[in-house]
Amino acid sequence: MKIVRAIRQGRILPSKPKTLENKPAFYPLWDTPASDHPAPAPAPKPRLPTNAESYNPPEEYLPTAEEKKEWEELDKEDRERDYLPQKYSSLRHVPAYPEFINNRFERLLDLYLAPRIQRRRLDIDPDSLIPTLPSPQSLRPFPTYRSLHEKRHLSRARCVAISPDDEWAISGDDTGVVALWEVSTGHQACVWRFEQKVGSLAWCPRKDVLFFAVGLDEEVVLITPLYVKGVIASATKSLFEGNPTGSNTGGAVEWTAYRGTATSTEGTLQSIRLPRATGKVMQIAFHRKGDYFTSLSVAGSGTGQSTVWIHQTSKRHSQAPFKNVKGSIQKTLFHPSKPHFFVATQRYVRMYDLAEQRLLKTFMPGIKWISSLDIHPSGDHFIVGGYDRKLCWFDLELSDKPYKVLRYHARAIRSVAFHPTYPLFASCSDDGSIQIFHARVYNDLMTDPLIVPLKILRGGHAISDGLGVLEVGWLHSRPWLVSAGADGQVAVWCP
Amino acid sequence: MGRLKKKGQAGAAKAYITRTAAVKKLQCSLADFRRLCILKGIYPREPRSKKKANKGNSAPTSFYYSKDIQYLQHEPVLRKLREHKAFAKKLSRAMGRGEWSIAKGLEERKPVYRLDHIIKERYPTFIDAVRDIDDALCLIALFATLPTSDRIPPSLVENCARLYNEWQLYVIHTRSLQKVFLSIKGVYYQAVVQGETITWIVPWQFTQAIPSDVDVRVMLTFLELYQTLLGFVFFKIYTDEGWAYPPPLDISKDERGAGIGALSVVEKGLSNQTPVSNAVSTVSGKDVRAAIKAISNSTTTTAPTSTTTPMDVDGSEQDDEDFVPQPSKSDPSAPAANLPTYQSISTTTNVISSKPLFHGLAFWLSRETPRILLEFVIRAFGGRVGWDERTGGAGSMFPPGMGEDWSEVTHVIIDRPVVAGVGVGPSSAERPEERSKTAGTRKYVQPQWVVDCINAGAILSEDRYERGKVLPPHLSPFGEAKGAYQPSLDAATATSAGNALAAAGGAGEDTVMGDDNAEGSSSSDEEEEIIEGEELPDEEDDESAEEEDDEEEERRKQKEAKRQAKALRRIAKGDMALRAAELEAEAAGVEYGDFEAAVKKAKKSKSGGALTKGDEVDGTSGTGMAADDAEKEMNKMMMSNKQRKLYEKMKYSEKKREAEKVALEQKKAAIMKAKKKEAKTKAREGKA
Repeated sequence: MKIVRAIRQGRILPSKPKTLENKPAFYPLWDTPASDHPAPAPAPKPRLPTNAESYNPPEEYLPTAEEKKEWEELDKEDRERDYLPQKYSSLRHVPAYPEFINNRFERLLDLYLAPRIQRRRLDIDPDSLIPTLPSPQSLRPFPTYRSLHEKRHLSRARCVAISPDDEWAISGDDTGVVALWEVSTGHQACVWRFEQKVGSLAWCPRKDVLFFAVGLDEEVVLITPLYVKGVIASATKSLFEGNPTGSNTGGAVEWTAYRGTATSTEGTLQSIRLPRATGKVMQIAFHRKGDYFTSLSVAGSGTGQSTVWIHQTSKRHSQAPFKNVKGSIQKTLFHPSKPHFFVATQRYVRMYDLAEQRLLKTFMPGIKWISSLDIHPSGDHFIVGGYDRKLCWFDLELSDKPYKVLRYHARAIRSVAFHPTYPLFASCSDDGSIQIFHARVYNDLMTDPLIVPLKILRGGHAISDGLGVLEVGWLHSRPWLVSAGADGQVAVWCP
Repeated sequence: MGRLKKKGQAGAAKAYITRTAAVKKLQCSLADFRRLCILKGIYPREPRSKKKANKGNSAPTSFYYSKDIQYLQHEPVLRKLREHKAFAKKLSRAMGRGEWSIAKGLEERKPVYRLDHIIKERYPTFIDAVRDIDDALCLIALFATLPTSDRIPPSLVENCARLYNEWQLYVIHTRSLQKVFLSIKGVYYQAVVQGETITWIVPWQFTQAIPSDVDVRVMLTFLELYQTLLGFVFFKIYTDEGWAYPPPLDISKDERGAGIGALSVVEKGLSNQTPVSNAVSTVSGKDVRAAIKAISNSTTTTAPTSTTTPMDVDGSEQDDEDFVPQPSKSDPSAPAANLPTYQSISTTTNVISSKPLFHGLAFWLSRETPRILLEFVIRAFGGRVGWDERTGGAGSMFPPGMGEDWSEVTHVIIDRPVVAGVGVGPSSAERPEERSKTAGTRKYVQPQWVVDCINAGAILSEDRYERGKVLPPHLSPFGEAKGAYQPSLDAATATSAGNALAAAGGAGEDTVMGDDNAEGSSSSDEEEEIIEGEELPDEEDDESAEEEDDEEEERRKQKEAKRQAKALRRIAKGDMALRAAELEAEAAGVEYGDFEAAVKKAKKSKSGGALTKGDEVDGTSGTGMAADDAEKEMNKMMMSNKQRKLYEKMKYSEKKREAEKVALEQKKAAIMKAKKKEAKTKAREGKA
């Protein structure tokens, strides 16, 4: 009864509409403090219309017949603009835009279906991205033109080496010819013809003696040129005379006089016969003091088992530093000041301590196949060139990853070389070009080395069978470069 | 010893969830999931590695943040949607069994969700909300013009139209409209509200049907959200101005199609009664009680804000009068306008338009002009606007009974071709004596004039926009991208400035003279203008050419000036080369003064026609440039891979833009050439 009375008096509503809430439709929503959640990022705004969208645009915006056709033939998604500019002479002629609802709908779809990515818009001059480097003009001298070139070989001139007194160069080719010629004039002084391909050449860096090593199949021949007279000649001769004490090498490597069948055997001092089936000697590298040198021989055509020997000329003794080598070794080098030894395999460069006989560091250049390696004369940096066109600059102190990776050659890099005294390095490639860089290394550890591309030497060597410039070498005291190409030419580049 | 890490237990695999998994987790239908995503503003994310996010599966799917979906699980709207599903089931069962009373009871308790909390979540501050109303306005404006159908109820369209009119009313009264652009897609408007730039597009006033490939459900869900958002935003901006929200609607006017005219701004103090009467008239009698409750609520809600009303009223009073900058009382040294307070922000537009653009002008809209567009635009810039209420609908601002012949009309906006035998004045209704009375004072212009005036920020000369004339191109006020082709404005400015004198007399004549003559003269005018536009830059370059009296000499001089200008242009083109040469000279150790002298000499000899020294300079600069380029090319080697890619991309787009620009310039030159030729032949014909 109470309830009935209440209903009658209107105190209780019998059928309260439940759906209507007691809140008003709109109220000051933002008067209450906001939650501390950050606001979601606002949706990007659509692009503002440009002149072309005007109902009465300047006439040049109107598409020509072929533009119109092209636009109509394109798929909707591929069109750059979703409309064709049109001109109406008066506002009353403007019709409804048939795509209006579709456009709105697409915008809505974008709002709720498109993933959003924040991209920072770079409003900069693209040229400002190019690093500003000192002008090459200020970094002279460096080789700029070819002062000398001669077709010295009938087949590919594989290797070239310059004597420590900078007067003579030797180049070797695939037919077994080793030519000795004067750097400044190009005069050919002597030729040796071997029966095998010449794999590598290297001058002994000693000043008191003068001889070079020629890498052949399973053999290294040490030769002194006959023009050498006086003290140096006698010192060189005496170096290889007699029978030094520790010459027994266990029979694996045999130090003998040269007994081969070269056409001219003049000046051959010594022959080092490596064990059978070790393959061609691909590289010979002398130690800075000139007593030791290393030879790298690879069985098969560059892919087979490789063996490294370290030879001592004074004792006529050879030893193999590695028992078994994993992977094929591409290059070996002595550290210029420390008893360290660098071995570049196909993918990695390993640094060994020869005194302690242990691995110090493995560098990962990220190159698929390393082709060449050279160490900066300071011994703190080295560069690695690869057949995949990359050149990596390593800082020994910094990291086992490259400090700088450059990719500028169009084809595989064949050889890289630091200049012994000038802050220069060069790389040569199968694209027939040689690149000269300025590479300044600072004494303090804080400053990064400065690498400036100086010059691209083009047109020096023709490309034959896909091979371009095969090796480059610097003169020791002058900024001159000597290069050997696959077309049999050797060239000298001068500043 | 650490525990073994299992795959798919951490990282991207946990942070992302596929859509299917999300729907499964929420236990709702895909349609409901879509609706929720739209309402809550959740959009898919692009994981860095799709494979990692999808547990090794690289099939194309869309991913959401798992956290987003977790939040969705607690969403009240989701609960309401589930309730609605149950309700629909119950209702259909009751209907199937014919249990009408149960069905009625169910219907009364139909679950309805509100979106207030979502608005607050998505836009924690008011500015966030204002920033995001562009799309809302576009959609509302679209739906306000759509025809009703079974998917689109009339109430929805009505509500959208009301909301859009409220927005227009606000923009008009705060004078916040900045730019208008008549495009082929529709009309773009840009306004600055609360310091935020808001751009929206309104379709041309035509009936349009929703195409079949458009999902109306998605649009309606967005519309649901946007209606709520705009409601709250409008409530806030109206109350901030001290106005009542919703603004009272004059129903009789609205029924006669007045649009904005049916709404009026009312001070908040008076608001307590007006919305009530409004509510009573729209809400059906059944919900009177609820309405009464709403009134009591509104009174309670307005009470706390009433403390701020006096100030707001002040502001709105200033709105009507000229704005007087008052120095701050606390710090008299600081100028009042410099303080970035809300007040100053909201009144900046007032400062600019202290005297609005169309202040004191009265416009008569001819029957064929788009009334809604022009009414909004003219009113937003302080003009009075009137039209024939019999054809254009109610809401004309002219005093009742006053039409086109009202003496205060300054501009008649007309968009009709000139018909032979009928005067320039609009229509038959005009009597000759009246026409002679008004002809001198009022201008007949095409609608584009209004918009161009707004975009230029000044009253432009009416001559080029007269009835039947070929209109000057209508350019986008939003401008082109940086570095894109800019249509030369010189033709327009030249004609507006230079032609103002010449054409003033001609135009005056036109109105008096017959139509054939007027047309002829106007067309010849047009061609002359274009030619002038071509020559103008040359004249600017060469100042001496202006001081010529003799016609023949002038012609000769102009030719010379042209040649000189060409040479100058060539020099400008060779600007880069010049710079390179300068660098080279510097490197070579040539003193700057000497170098400059040499360059000047070269230029002189060039412009004189003797290219002896110029060639030399060109040669050296050419090699300098080549060396520079080669150096740059080499320096590119030292860029990192990332930088190089970026560089290449930028260069590509730059090149593309440049190509577009060049194409447009070439087109323009071709058009100019054709026009010139035409003009010449015409002139020859005329002579013959």
